[in-house]
Amino acid sequence: MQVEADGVSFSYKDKRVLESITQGFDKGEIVSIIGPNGVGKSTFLHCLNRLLTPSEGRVLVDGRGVEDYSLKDLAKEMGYVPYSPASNFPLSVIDMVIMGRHPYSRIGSSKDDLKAVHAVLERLDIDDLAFRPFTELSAGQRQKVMIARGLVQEPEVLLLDEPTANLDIKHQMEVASLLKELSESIGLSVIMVSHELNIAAKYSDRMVLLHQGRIYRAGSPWEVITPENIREVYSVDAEVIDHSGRPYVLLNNPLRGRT
Amino acid sequence: MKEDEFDDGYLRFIRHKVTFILAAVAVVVLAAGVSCLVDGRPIGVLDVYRIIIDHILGTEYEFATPEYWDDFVVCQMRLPRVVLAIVAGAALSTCGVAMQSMMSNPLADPYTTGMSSGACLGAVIAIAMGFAFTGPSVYGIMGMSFLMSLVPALIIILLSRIVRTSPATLILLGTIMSYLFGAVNTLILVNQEGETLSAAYLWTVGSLDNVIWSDLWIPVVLSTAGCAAMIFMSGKLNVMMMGDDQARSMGLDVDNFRTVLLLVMSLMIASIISFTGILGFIGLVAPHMVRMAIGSDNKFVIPASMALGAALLLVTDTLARLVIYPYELPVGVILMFIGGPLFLYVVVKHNGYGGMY
Repeated sequence: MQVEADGVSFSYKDKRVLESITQGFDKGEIVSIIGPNGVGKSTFLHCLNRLLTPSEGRVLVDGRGVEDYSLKDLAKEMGYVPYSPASNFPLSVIDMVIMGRHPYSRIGSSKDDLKAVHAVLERLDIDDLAFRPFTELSAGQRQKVMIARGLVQEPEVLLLDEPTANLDIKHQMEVASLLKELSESIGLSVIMVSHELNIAAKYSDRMVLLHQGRIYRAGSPWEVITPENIREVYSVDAEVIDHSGRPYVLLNNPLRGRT
Repeated sequence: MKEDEFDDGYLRFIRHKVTFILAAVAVVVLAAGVSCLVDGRPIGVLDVYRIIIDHILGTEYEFATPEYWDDFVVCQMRLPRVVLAIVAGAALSTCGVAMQSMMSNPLADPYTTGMSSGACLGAVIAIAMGFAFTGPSVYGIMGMSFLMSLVPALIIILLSRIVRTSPATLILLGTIMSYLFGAVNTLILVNQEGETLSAAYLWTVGSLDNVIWSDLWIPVVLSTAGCAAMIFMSGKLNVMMMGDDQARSMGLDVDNFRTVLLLVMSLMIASIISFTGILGFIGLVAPHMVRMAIGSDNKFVIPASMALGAALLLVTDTLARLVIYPYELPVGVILMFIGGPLFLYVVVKHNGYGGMY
C-alpha cells in the first residue's frame, strides 16, 4: 500500500494553509509529520483520508485517487485516530472499538465483528478493559482504545493526529513503541502528526518537517532533526545529540523577536 | 482473556441491557392497564387485561349487556388513547435518540431542533385553512404538518453540507426556528374565531384526547416503520455519535445518511404531532434516562427508549386526567411540569456525564 500526496494545496477560505505538498509514504514505515502550531499538519492528514478535499493536487492510494474510492472502501484501507478523543455520550470500550467494524458491517456480522474486536484488544493487551466505560480510562488507555478502533478497520495505513498528546512519558513511549511493533509485525504503515520531537525521532523511519505550509525537509530523523532546521522552523535554539543511534534534541532557548 | 471468556463477558455485558428493556416493556403493559381504569365505568385492573385479550380473540357480546359495555368502554373509548400514547412516546423518544446521535449532541431532540414546532405550525395552518380533524381532512392536517416539519430539516441538511456546522449551531438554529414558527403560529391564532382558535390552540399544548381507531392507523404504521428503520440503522447511528469527521473516517457517508434520517424523522414526527400537538421533553428525558442505565449503544438504547418513552407518556397522560378529575388537563402541560425538573435533575446529578453539561 502506497500513499502519495501529489502537489496537495489547501486553503481555508482565502487563507492558504498547504502549498503544493508532494510526499510519498511507503508500506510498513512510520512517518512523523512535525512542525510548529498552525503549520497545517492536521490539515494535511485530513487531506490524506478525504476529510478535507485539497484545493489543488490529489492524494493517491495505491495509484488510485482517494476521490475514486467509496468512503467505505477507503475506510478499509485507512484508519484514523483523531486528536484527543472524547464522546458526548457514555460509551464502553467495546462500543467504541466495534464502531470501527462499520465498513464491514452487514446483517449477521456481529459475531465476526466481536471476534475481530477481541483479537485486536488482546493484541494491544487491553482486553481486560473491554467492558469498562471509556470515560473512566486513563489518557493512555483511551489512546490505545482509539488505536484499537483504527485497527479493527483492518487498514493498511493508520493516520494518527498527535497520538502522544496529553500522555505522560511512559505512555508516550508505550503508544509509540506499540505503533512501531505494529508496523514491523503486520506491515502497517503509520503516518502520524507529532509535537514530541524526541519520541518521533526515536520511533520514526522518516520524518516530514512542515514550515509555512510547505515541506521544509523530509528524510531520515538525522536529516530532519538538526539544530539549523529547529532554529529556522521552530525559532528555538537547540542542540542535537546522538542517543542510542537516534537524534535527541536538547532545548536551549526560544529565539527572540521571531514567531 | 480467552475468546470464550470474552464472549461470556460480552453476554453478561448485554444481559442487563436486555433485562432493562424487558422491565421497561413490563412497565408499559402495566401503565397501559392502569390508564384504561380511568373514567366513568368502574372496571377492575385484571379485568381490563382480560377484556382486551378477549377482544383480540374476537369474543362477541350481546348488545347492552354489562360485558358488552365493559368491552365497549375499554376497547373503543380508552384503548385508542393508550395506543396513541404508546406510539407517540416510542416514536418521539426514538427520534430523540436519532437526533442526539446524528448531531453528536445530547441536547438535540425533535423539539429543540424546531421540527416539532414546524409540524405543529403545519397543523395550525391546516386548521386555519379549514381542514377539520375528522374524516379525510385529517390527511390535509398531516400533510401540512409533514411539509412544515421538513423546513427545519432541510435547513439542517443544507447548512451542514455547505458549511462546517458545530452541534451548537444546529441547536441555535432549532431555537431560532421555534421562535419563528411560534410567531407565525400566534399571528394565525389571533386572527381565528372562537372554535377554530381553541382547536388550533390545543395543538400548541399537546393532548391525547379524542382519538378513535379509524384515525390511528397512520401514526401507528409510520411510527412502527420508522422505529424499525432506526433500530436497523443503529450501527450507523453509533458511528455518527462520534461526530462527522470520525464517522467519515469509519466509512459512513454522513451527508446522505443525515438526509435519510431527517426524512424518516419528519414523517414520524408529523404523523404524531399532527394528532397530539407538541409533546416536549419525551425525546430528551427518555433517551438520557436509558443511557444512564445501560450506556449508549443505540442497538439497545432505541428499543429501551421506545419502551421508556411510551411508559412516561402513559403515566403523564393518566396523571393529566386525574389531577383535576373529572376534568382533564392537556398532557403537554403535565409533561412540561414533570419533564422540566426531571431533565434538570438529570443534568445536575450527572453533570460529569459526557462532559456536555
